[in-house]
Amino acid sequence: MSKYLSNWWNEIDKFNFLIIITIVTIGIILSISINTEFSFFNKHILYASLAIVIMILISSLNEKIIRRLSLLGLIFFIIMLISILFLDYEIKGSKRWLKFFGLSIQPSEFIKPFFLILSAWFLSKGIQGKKIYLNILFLFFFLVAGLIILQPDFGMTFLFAASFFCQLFIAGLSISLVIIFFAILIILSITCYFIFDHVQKRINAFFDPTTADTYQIDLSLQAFKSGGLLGKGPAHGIIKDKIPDANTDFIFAVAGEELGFIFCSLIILLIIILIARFLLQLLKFKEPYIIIAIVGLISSYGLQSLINIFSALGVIPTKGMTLPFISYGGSSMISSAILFGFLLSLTKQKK
Amino acid sequence: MVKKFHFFDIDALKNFHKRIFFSIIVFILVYSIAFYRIFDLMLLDNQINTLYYNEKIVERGNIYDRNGYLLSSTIKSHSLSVNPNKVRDKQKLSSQLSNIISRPQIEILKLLNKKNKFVWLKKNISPREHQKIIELGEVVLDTEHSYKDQRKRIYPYKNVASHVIGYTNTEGIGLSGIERGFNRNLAEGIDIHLSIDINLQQAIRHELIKVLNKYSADSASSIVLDITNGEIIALNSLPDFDPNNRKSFSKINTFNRAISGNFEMGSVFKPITIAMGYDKGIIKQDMIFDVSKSIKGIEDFEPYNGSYNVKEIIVNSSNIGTAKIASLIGKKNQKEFFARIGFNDKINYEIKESALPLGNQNNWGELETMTIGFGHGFAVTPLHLISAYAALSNNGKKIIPTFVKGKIHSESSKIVNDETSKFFVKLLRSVVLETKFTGPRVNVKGYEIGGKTGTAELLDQNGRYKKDANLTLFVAVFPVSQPRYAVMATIENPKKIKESNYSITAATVVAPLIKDIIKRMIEILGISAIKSQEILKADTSLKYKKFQNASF
Repeated sequence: MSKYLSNWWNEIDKFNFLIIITIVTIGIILSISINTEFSFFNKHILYASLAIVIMILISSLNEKIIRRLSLLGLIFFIIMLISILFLDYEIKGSKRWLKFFGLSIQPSEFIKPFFLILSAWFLSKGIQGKKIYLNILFLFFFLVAGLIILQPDFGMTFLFAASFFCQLFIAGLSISLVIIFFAILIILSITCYFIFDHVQKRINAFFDPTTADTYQIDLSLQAFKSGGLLGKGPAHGIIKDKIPDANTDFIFAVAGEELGFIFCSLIILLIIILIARFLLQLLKFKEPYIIIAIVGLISSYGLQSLINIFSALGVIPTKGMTLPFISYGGSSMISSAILFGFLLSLTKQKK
Repeated sequence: MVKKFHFFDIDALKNFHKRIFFSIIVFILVYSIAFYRIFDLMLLDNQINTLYYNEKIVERGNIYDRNGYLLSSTIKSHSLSVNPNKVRDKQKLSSQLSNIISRPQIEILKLLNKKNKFVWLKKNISPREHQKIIELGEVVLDTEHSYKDQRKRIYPYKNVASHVIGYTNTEGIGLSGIERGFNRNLAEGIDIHLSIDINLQQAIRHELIKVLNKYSADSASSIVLDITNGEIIALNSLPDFDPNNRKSFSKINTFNRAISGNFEMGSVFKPITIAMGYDKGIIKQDMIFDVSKSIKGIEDFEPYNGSYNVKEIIVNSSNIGTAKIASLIGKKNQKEFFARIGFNDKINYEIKESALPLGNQNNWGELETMTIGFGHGFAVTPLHLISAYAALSNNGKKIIPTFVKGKIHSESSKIVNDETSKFFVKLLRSVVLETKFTGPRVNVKGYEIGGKTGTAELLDQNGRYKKDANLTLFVAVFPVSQPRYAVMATIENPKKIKESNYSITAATVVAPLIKDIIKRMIEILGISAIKSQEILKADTSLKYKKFQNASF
């Protein structure tokens, strides 16, 4: 066992691993801070510990097993996404959750890492000229994206599509297609705005705060403002009592209010370092599959964190997305663990 | 794909380095926006300040009730200072001041004997002290010298309507209630005239406290709504707080259960279910339902071995009967109706603490359709519930509840037709006329009260059922011949007491409370009783007339 662990430790990218652990720790600090009772044991810590174990386990697997695992995972979660549509757990107008033995699971959170691994594999075959792989890949992409958009969960669909796009981009998508892609994106967003009532409401509220309910974002900005350089101190913030989703969508605002500017900067800095390091490591690799997989996974992480932080800061309309490893929530925590398990496994140094 | 057109650049992977660097730069650039934003917000915060509050330019507006009583205002707090060198009769002045500012004469005398040109006698004196000092007519006393630039937001009615009015922080930025919802207007110096009647508000609060204490209940709420225009005349939530006293701002005290609390409402959902079925033509008045056997484990509180017609289902509050009706209506219609009546949306943007209904948290299957039909498994806020009742009583016209007096709403949509609305209020009236316990406890002669009781299990913060803790409530509409007011009250977790034979049903706990509230409304709002003659004239339908006659 100890030999197994030391082997794992030798192969793994230690710096990245430590940054991830630091981010998880920040999440734990915030989870303690957010509790008014100041209890040191909470569900978040339980999920976080479980996440670290899962991440270590997955990162010790080899690349072939990861691919098989991804295939199983993808099929399993596609079935879950389909069954969600037939069952009727509707929360705030969307069907995103399934209940298993009292646990709520959000399949759209889990499906990303599995899909991104397989799409990397299929893309790497595709660019070698085997067109059939590309056809299958796009079929699955539209299937999954369609299932998520039906929930409806536009934020997650966007994230999923954007991560996939990053993979295409690195795989060498021709520039003309990149431009066409962005054109389609703009047209799609405009269509969504006119077709879907709640999208329209949110966008309108963003551009003209007087027309609607800007309660959350007002409070969020207020929280950052009152935090100042060093924050009000753990458990002294008020935003978490006022916003129902404070520990998920607005966790960054809680960090701002209770722990201050320096701490928030630290979070952003760690995220940037993590992204940059994983991307820079790619320069050492030659195998297209590994490169494309890593790009997909790290983009998914980078974009999701960005959307969460931007929402809390009022830069974009609120999207209902978690901050990986920091927000409360089992689905988000475990899916982030799987994602980074894959990343750490793929960047292992063979000795 | 056209020939020679390539999906991927050939050999792109060989120089993918460029694209990697490009990606890194894009990520860093975009994340720098986040950096810039937190730097701007957290370290250079003046921008936000001016957005919310510009006290330097104008004095914050006042808040008044519907009759012009002042509910919230900003005062410049005065401080008392003096130049001791100019005081002639120190003995006399110190004794006079000692009475006014309640400070020992010796202490004041000591200060007056100082050789300074300026001493503080008391900082932040009250308006009353200020008045008395002016009346003293002593020119050496100075109250215009302000200690710092202190402005204070004051709330003369203290706890009364605290949840509606809200409070500000020390900088005068509204943090809750109307102070928050209308912060922009108030900061620009605009006064807000509320639809609240502060005298009624106070009287209802008093009634609620009496019941709360009697049954050692956890909390209570009450809403009085003018059905014809959506104005909220009174809205109480207990426990409450004193906006003048920051120490009372605990999480429990500041929680406005009437608009932020989600509750499963129990039997008060039954008339709503009947109305949706009736409106769709699925339910007819003369339909009969067998309620002798339990269905899918659903049972009645007081089992009856036989059948009920629709009215009897409501009067006897039959779960089995309502479940069967809900099942006929079906999930699709039920969902669609809830959406139409506003159970999927926030309904009041004036007070930003307004909550979205939790709705149904489980898989919405056949059984849920049934239980939701009688108010279990679907949570809404009290304001949502009373708005639904108001709309169903108001010829089906949707109500947009407001806290602002005389607010003009655009033409509202119809939720049900006139016929359904008539049937709905008729059902409510039947409950009051035909029940043995509930009716007599709530009826006020000459005011044609209709209503429905509800009892449900309370939910904890995570939406799970609490053990042995019930919500009891009552929703009333009156006068039924021309509905004008909707009234509701909730009492959370009443305890069994000997005085009421250990009964904690809504009929025991809340029905008499509703009666007291209505009596107060009659007094304070000056509502006159309806003479039976007038109703007879107004009625045209024979069937309806027969029913009306029965009420006198």
